[in-house]
Amino acid sequence: MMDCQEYREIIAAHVDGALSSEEGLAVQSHLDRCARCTQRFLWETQVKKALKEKFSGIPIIPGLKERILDQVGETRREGFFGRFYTPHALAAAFVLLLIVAIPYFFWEGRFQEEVFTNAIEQYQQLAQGIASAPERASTPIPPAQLLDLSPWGYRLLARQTQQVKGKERRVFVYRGTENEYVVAQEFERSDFSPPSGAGAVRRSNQDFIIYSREGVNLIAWKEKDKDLLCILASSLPQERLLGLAQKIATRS
Amino acid sequence: MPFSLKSKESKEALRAEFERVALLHLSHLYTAACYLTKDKAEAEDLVQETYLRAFRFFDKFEPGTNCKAWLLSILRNLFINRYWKTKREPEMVDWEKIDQVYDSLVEQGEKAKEGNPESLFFSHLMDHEVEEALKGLPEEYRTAILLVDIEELSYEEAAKVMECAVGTIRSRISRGRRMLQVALRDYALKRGVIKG
Repeated sequence: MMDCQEYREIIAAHVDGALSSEEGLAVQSHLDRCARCTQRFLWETQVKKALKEKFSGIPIIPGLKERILDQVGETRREGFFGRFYTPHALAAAFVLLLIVAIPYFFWEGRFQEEVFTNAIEQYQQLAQGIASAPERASTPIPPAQLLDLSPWGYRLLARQTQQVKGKERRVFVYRGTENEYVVAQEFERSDFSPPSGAGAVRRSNQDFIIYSREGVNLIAWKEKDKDLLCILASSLPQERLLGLAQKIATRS
Repeated sequence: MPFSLKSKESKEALRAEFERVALLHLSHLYTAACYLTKDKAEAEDLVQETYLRAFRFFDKFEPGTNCKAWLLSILRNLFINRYWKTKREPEMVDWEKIDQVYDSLVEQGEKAKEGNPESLFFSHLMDHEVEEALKGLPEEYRTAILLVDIEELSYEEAAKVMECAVGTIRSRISRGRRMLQVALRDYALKRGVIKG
């Protein structure tokens, strides 16, 4: 049996007509018996009506619509990138371009050109890989050694190994059960400094760097005793991605 | 995919369709952006970014569904990821005090003429004062009220935009409105509309 305190929490929803018919009947039956809650209900009904009159739209800055139309007109979806355009490939490429740009923040050396050349190559290979992923299901790709996400229901779609400044970098693209993508990257290095704007969190005796940009969340950590930097990038909520990183880090 | 992207003509058609279906909601998006960012220049940037992203992913929009809710989802995601993280607001809410003041408001309201909104103290407040009071609420309550009371989304649509359960929206609306009323009472006291 709900008490007045609990009914108070749903009276606003009752005023808005947002309760199920059963819940609505239950609230109504309580209101018939409770003068105080009826008082609240009548008050909330008046408040809603009065607020509706008070809330007016905020006038748009002149020229905003035109500026948006200009920008939309400039959006190029054809040419090189257009060839690979599918919603899945675009989502993965978005994540991938960001992850490949990350070493620029992490590494002290200036090798922007190489990073972006690699980014385009990776984009090509992985976007194609993802676009044709369902057909490739029968030809399994070897799993990652460290960043193996398969125990948590992730399916490996594509992988790539490359040498950057004499050190190996391995990139793996996974798809989860909710069709979300996770790009996992591990590369050899001895130390790293977080990009500006990044945060740090300590979980299960392990430090994680948290970074977010353009709707993509990144979690990075240094594997103990292995001299490996691991990065996960995904549009998954930060807390979920961190949970996944924590599981991987504590497992290894 | 509802739209083909192959030819120049179809791209133009897509743009025209986007203007007809999505840009129709520009004023709503701008209002929402102003309430979220509390800054007109940032709101303008946020709205432009939202429309650019919406155009890129326009083929994901299902015709016949609520386009305004879809755009608001993009806008809020961008806001949370880009703008709000750097300015996270401390959420120290003294619910005991709020509920106490709220109950006194309900009692006073009972004394006023029943069913006449003009008898409510905040009917005498200016629209911009109500706007400022809403902007003063913590983000989660402000957004819930914005989506339901201003953008007129259903609780289910608001829950999708805020990526939470419908029950959470109920609670945020209920508490948010209480909090808003208490904030408006302060404005009314300051203006002398009511006496403390």
